[in-house]
Amino acid sequence: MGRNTVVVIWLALAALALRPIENVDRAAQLAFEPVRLLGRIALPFAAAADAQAANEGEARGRVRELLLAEQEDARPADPALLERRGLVHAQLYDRAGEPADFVLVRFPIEASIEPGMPVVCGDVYVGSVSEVGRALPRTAQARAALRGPPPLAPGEARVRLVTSEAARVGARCGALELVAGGLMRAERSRARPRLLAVRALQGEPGSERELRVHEEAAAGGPWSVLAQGYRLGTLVEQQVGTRSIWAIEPLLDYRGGFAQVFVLCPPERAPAGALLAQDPFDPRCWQRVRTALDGELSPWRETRRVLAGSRAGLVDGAALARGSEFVGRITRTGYLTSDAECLGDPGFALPVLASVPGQRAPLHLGSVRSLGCDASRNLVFLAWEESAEVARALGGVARTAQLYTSSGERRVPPGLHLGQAELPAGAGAHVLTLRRSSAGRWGTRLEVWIGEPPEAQSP
Amino acid sequence: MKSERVLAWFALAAWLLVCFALQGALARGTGALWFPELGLVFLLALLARMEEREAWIAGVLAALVRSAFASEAPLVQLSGLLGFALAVMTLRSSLEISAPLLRGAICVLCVFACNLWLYCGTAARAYWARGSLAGFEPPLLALALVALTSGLLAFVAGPLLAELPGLSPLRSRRW
Repeated sequence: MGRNTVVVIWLALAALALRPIENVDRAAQLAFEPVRLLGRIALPFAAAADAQAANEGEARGRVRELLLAEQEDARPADPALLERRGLVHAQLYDRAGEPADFVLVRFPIEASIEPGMPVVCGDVYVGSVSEVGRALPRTAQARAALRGPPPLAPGEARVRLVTSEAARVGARCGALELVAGGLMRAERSRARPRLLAVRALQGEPGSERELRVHEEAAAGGPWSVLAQGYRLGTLVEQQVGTRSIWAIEPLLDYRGGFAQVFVLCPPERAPAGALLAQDPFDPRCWQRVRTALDGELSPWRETRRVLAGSRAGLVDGAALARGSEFVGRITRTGYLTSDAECLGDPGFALPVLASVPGQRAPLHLGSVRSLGCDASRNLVFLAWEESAEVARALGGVARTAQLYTSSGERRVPPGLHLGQAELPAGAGAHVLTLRRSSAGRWGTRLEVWIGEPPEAQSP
Repeated sequence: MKSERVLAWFALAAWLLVCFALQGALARGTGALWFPELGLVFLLALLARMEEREAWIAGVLAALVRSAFASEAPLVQLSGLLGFALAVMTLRSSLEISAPLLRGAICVLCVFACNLWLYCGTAARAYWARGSLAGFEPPLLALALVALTSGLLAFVAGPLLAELPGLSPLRSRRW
């Protein structure tokens, strides 16, 4: 083959490398798959991993307590808000795969939830159920999956947040009534809007500024009155150009500041008592795998070649861990092997939970994005935008916290340890320096999250 | 094709496998920042003495073997390694690659370009998948350091690598 022919082939390959086409990529992956099994040859060279922490059981116990505290913290504290209402505990399940201002939650399958039911976190109104999963015959499921994203399964519901442009909720502030919903456009075009918009204001606000939900069945539907009395935020005056308008300072960071919620329903519809069970360390949810190396060939990356694929039950997005420590996420699953990106890989993003000493319930930091690690791989730099709500919770003081994975990604369980970082005091963009205990030396024996077995999901 | 040539190709695949596996196993922690690209240096050493029509096959073979240990998308690696072979063959036709100093310099250049390509391919794919390049900053210093140590290795041990057992049917030129 002449050099000119090779140059033409190379140009075509270069274009396909820079601008991927799904089917071509799949074909290339299929062609490379048998050779990729040769990664096993490096297993005898693999250095032994640093000994797994002796107090692994203690660490897992701490995480279970933390997650329980998170669930308890999401329960309304004001007894008046519990009267004549049933509470169904639900856990945020998927945020990344959903359109903006919608989240997917999981709830006990025996609870009878319907669209329109309000969703709250603590005493704060979050939004309402917009769609509930139903059992479908297998053929209907397959048809629906062909048309778009897979339909919701029983025990799953889609929640429309109050920040959605289409969301409307009645509210009262003293004697003043108003309608709220959606976000107010930020004054600076690049800033992320965070204040809730006031849609209809009947009169001028008095001295009372705390807003609570005030719904009537005729206006908001039969279930909307269940949200009566839940907090929405504080009415604040904003200058937009020369005009002065009213907006609502929220009590919650709707973008990433919660992971546990309660759906409000009539008392007879809520199952008795129990919170949704969640144990990130249930051995049935994890599959043991080997990786080709305890490292990678590109010095600027942090990835792993996993010597197992869809044949072993692995799927894209599944968490990779070593004991209770988070390692990364499966990004490309082949039949026999897979690729995983780790926390220190540039651009890697995930929702994070922080355990701050002296605070029982964890803080939701929202999403962080990796900027890579230092030479020793002991430190990982994470870009993080601190919300006003987190800054309030920190009380204006920088605090050292243990960071964990949070709910919000379907195949990453909450509570996997990331490391220790100092959380700065003020709201805004920060770079966190995460100190890992393992320095990225996880060895070649890891575990991949395969999810709960079907019998564990049914009641 | 004679059976000894077939065996030589298998030997090349085996040596590439050993080089990439050794590199992956040894380049850990801070060492990864300066550890030479063993596989690429070996490939360059052999390309310097191969027939041009076989050089492309060697590039594709190296991409296949490298993919056993690296997580870059197969097409990114294939274009990277084929590009590496193209660059070496183009430079070989105008420069005397057998001279140690030139060999080292060409190795620095080609290894840097290949690694930069792998970075660009990964970043481009991240951009198409996520819609932003947040978190990506060109690691030029790290790539330059690896390229320099690779050049040093090619300078010192280039001919030695090309003389590894089983490869003689693929060698057509002398240093």
